[in-house]
Amino acid sequence: MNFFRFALKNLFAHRTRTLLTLVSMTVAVAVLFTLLSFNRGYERGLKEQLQAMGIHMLVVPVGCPYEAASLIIKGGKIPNFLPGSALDEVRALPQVDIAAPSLMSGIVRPEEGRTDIYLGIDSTTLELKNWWKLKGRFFEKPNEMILGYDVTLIELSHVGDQIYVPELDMTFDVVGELEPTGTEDDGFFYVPLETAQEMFLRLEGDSGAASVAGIDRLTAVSIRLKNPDDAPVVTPRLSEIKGAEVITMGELLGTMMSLMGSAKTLLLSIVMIIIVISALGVLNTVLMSVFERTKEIGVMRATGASELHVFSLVWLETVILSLLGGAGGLGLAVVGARAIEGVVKRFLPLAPKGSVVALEPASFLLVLAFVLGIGLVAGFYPALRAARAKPIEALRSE
Amino acid sequence: MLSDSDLVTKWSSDQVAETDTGVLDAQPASPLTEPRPLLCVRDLWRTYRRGSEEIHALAGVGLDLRPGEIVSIVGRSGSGKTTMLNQVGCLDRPSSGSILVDGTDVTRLREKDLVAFRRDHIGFIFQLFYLIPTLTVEENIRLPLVFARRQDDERVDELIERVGLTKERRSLPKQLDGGAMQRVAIARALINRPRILLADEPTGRLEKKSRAAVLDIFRELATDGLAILMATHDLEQAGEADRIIEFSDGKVVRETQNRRK
Repeated sequence: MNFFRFALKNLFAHRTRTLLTLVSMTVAVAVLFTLLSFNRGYERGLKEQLQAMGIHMLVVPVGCPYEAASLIIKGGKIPNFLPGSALDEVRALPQVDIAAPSLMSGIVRPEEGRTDIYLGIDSTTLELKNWWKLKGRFFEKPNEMILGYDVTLIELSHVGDQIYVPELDMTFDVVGELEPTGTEDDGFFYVPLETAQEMFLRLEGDSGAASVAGIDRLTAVSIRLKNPDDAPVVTPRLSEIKGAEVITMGELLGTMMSLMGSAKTLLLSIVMIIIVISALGVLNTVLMSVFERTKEIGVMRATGASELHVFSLVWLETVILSLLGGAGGLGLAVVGARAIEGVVKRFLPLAPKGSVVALEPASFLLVLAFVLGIGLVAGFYPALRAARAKPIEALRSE
Repeated sequence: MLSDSDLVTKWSSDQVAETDTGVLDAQPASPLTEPRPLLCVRDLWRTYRRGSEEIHALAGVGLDLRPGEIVSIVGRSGSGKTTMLNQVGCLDRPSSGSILVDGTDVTRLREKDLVAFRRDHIGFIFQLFYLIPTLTVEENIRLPLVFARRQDDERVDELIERVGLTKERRSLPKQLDGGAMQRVAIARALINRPRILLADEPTGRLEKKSRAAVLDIFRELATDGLAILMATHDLEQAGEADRIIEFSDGKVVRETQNRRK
């Protein structure tokens, strides 16, 4: 027999109480680990996605939200547009390698519970996104269309098919389809830029936006620089364009993360409360156990146990309890990560493609260390109390 | 109805001869022919405060205990019997006086040294056995070895056999009767080969057969040189001792030598 076995037997002596404490620890740890993994996974996914875009900066209209796609999905309208002349000004800068204009808008289909997002582009987008794998060909005529991978699955349409848009009474020939990119690009209907400018002006009527921005209005100009290090030089020049706002990819990432910030703070607060409650649960369990075993502790002292022996035994019980709860929580988090991910993605339209829960060894170790810390802190007082009990008083206790 | 004290007096007049006539507060009997005492208690006081009142649980007590000797402490409840055992067992500190165990004045030991001293020199047996309910018979007996960081399987086996619990070594305390539980407690008390065994009402909760078994074990242990000091209400048990010391109000009021011994 050793101390570890002795401590285990003590914990097993009160199975229900131990089990309840373990369950609360398990849930707290699972939530903590999942949140931590989600945070890291989301940040990583977003970075990878932004880097994969091959875009160094974006020029957008002042006041245009970055999450334009999200706004359109929900049926909102983009309030401002860039004039077509902005593209010429961008292209005039010598540091700019590629400047790809785009116009984004959507058609809400409430009966199907979705919004079709149309992106008007020209061939420069193909140059910018040179990783795209296109089946078929690029547009040659105004009424031609390329479908993102997800759209081919939803529309069950492929190269050679036609797509009718009743709102505009227009029929498009599908001339190309994208192979999966793992990005937002999979979810768009691509049409020639001029066609998009015309069709959405017609659809929306003259709301005033066109009169301000002109018929050749744009939602964004995506820019690749010859040298990404030139961004600090180019940014102020681009900011001089009337009605334009410049977003570097670093800013975009930071903004997206800050959008998550509030929700993350709230979740972290909840997790901290859960952790404090579970730590109090551990403290309560061990303290109760110490009270119940006061006489036993007196007997141990009478049969040769030192204060340190008693302290170590009680502390060990807490640590075992915490580590078992920690292991259970980590196991639960690993098993439940995919389910949690599914829920998270449903509520976050901007969630990056692929996994947003990164089950990293560093998070694993961090959570284990955290749990161990809880055990050591929560167990300290009961252990100290047990150790300081005078043998004679402990033996007399009822 | 007779009090404890009356009973002792009655018992002593029937069964034993008083070896000393006076009250032996500080100078217990010690025949010259007997070996040097293993335990020497001199002028021991234990005083508690209750508000402004001072209570003397022990008031200048003295006694000796020699190797191989069994000494019973008798007296009514609150007379100081258990307090005396707690002092000798280093579970409590005296207010004044000295307790020499095998030549060491334990009242002067630091707490850390006291733990080791208690573990190595003194065994305890309690009326309610106080076994650890989650541990088996064998584990209960082995527990003091765990605290001492010793591994002595032979000693464990030897004691289990000696107290007749070979078949029950894997049993939990709740599966045993009172007699068996007290035999486990005896084995546990002896595991570190102490020189003194302190027993507080060791047969108080046992039926006659188990009482006899425990007393037989005590007699065997004394024959092997173990010094046994026990507090008891059981006059039959007290009659098995070599000497009987009667306590009253924290003092030794009578000491008698067992004539049958």
